[in-house]
Amino acid sequence: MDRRGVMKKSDDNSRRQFLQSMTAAGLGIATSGTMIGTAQAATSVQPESWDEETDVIVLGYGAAGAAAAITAHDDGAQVLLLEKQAADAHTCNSKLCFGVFLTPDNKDDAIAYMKVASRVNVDMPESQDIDDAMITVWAEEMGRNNAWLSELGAPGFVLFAAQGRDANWPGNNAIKAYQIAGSDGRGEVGTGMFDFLHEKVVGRGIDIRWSTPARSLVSKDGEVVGVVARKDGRDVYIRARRAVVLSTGGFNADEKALKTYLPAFPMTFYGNPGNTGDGLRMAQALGADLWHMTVLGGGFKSKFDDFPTAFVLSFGSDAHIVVDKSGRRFKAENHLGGYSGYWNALVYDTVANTWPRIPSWLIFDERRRTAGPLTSTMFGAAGPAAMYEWSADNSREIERGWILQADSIEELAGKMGMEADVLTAEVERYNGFAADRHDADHGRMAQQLIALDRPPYYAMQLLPGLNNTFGGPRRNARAQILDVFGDPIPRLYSAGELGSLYVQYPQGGANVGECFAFGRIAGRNAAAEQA
Amino acid sequence: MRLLKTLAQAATVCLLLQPVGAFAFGSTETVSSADFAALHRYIIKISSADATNSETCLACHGPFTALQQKTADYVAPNGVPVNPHITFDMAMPNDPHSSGKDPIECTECHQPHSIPITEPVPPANTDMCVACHHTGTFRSCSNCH
Ligand SMILES: Cc1cc2nc3c(=O)[nH]c(=O)nc-3n(C[C@H](O)[C@H](O)[C@H](O)COP(=O)(O)OP(=O)(O)OC[C@H]3O[C@@H](n4cnc5c(N)ncnc54)[C@H](O)[C@@H]3O)c2cc1C
Repeated sequence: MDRRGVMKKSDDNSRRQFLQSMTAAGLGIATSGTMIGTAQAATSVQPESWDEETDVIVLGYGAAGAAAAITAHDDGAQVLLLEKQAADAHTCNSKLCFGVFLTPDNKDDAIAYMKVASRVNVDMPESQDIDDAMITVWAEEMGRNNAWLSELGAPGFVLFAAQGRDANWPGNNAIKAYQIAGSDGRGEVGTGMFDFLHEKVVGRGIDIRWSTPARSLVSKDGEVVGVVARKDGRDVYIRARRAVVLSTGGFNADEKALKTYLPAFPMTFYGNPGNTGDGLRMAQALGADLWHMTVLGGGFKSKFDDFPTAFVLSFGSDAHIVVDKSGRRFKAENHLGGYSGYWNALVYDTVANTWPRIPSWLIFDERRRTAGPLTSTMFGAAGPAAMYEWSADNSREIERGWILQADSIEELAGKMGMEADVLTAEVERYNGFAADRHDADHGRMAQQLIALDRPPYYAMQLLPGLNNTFGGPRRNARAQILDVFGDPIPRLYSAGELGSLYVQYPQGGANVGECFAFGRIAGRNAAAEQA
Repeated sequence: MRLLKTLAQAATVCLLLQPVGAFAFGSTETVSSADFAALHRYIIKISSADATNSETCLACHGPFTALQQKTADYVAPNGVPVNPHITFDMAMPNDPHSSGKDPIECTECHQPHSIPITEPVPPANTDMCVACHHTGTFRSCSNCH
């Protein structure tokens, strides 16, 4: 594997024979024989024999893979789960997340809401980008999320969101999101939620193979018949008698895909460094159509070169402002959060030919530094998934150079490479607004107008920061992956954030809710394929 | 906006309120003579008041603590019980609702009505609350952030 986690075709394939260019398979040109397309190399090979076989192979063990595996197993299929990461270094997004899942409380309202949330431009009904059948299935299946979890043994639920994103969207009040209730009465975050699912998977005796990345899909006469995976330095050929489910997560850690599909660079992610778009390429190699490649959700986050993922931020309510590269505020800071917040960074200066808000900077003073860690310790990399322990007073991060410190605003500007005059004037102007309790420039809420006047001063770099990618192979309401001509690729299913159906992020919990719902649909239909 | 511009209007209000005087005090009990006198004082007071000022509203609908009691069982449109009549203490951004200081201006959520009421009064909304409590559950920010 290279630096970005992109797997190179191995050279230990001497017993396999290169057959045919993957392009032919990708375009669905009829060929006979069994083909193996590695997601990385544009070739396909034919195995002489299978190393093992099962009914359904699920690739990627997050919430989607777990839901698919449990459902396929309960529907009578023998299931094999392949996970690329080691059991003790498993940082899937489902574990890093806040554990919130969406379960709308009535179908008709959920449909009405989703018909708006599925528009590329919410003002234009004609821009709806998923069909009504898909929306109906989404509303029905998502509505069963809590019931399904209860059947699995969830002790109860904590209401997280009581409404959708916009009171003006029809059905807004039906958009409810929950966490699984923990023993202390608080909701479980991703680690607890995933532990719950893991217990159900293990309890069913489902075979989980850790440290076993899938490399490619094997197809025969256009049907998916198996998987090539990498285990202990060699390729393993596993036959799927019924179907394969792709649930390998998004492409947030594949720099090449990010450069190809996203509008700006860098856009940073606070999710799993292992989500390198493997499933995207595996499906592409078999001619899958793509959708929602540019869909994202997030706000402003911090990413540092010497750490593999970005951090969820907690601006807090103490004195802070957010400025662009030149040192100027550009928006009421209380409007920079939320799932669409990142759009505020995507402003291009067509005269200077630059992205003035990439990076932006969070400026704060001593009060904020001592008020607690700048990242959330409830979820994400510094949460219970324990990828990083952020110091309570932010001192270690100052030492690491992640947070810049200076005795004056002038000095701080110098450290960020900004004109000191601009930043000083901006801070003075802001402090005037704080004194007046009125932000004449951006209308920030009065309660947040707290003067920056307690040195030392600090700065931390901000980038458009996203939870995950939504793009991937296009799927239909049966969770089948569709080819570029709109036909299902036989025996190939998907679930989760890989090729998510969302066009806008509908509300917190929408991703995990979709993992559960489409994981179940994929698991059900995969198990129902004829062996 | 002045609520009552003329003495004649004040007199109309007086007559209107008499049979339902209790309404102004938020109770259904019979109006005592003390209340009656108080009501007069209020009418005189609001006749020169500004309808965008919470004090004006509270002259009839208050005191604020009584309002809070009245809406103790209020359920927001999204189904979550929450008392909308709360205070927002600017000096305590980390814990703004606990000090009991600074009631939120009535007109943030309600539209002022004329006296006597001639048009149906539009229902209040919780938009102001969900601007911060964006999940609509009204839990503390630090539950998640
Ligand atoms: C910090 C954070 C907070 C979030 N909070 C929420 C929230 O509260 N609610 C919500 O709905 N959404 C939330 N999201 C988004 C949500 O967590 C994800 O979209 C969702 O968990 C994705 O689940 P998944 O099963 O599709 O992918 P993942 O959970 O990421 O699982 C994919 C798995 O596939 C594995 N994999 C990758 N390539 C291969 C391969 N070649 N072979 C085998 N395995 C492979 C990966 O290692 C990984 O374990 C959050 C995201 C983040 C990052």
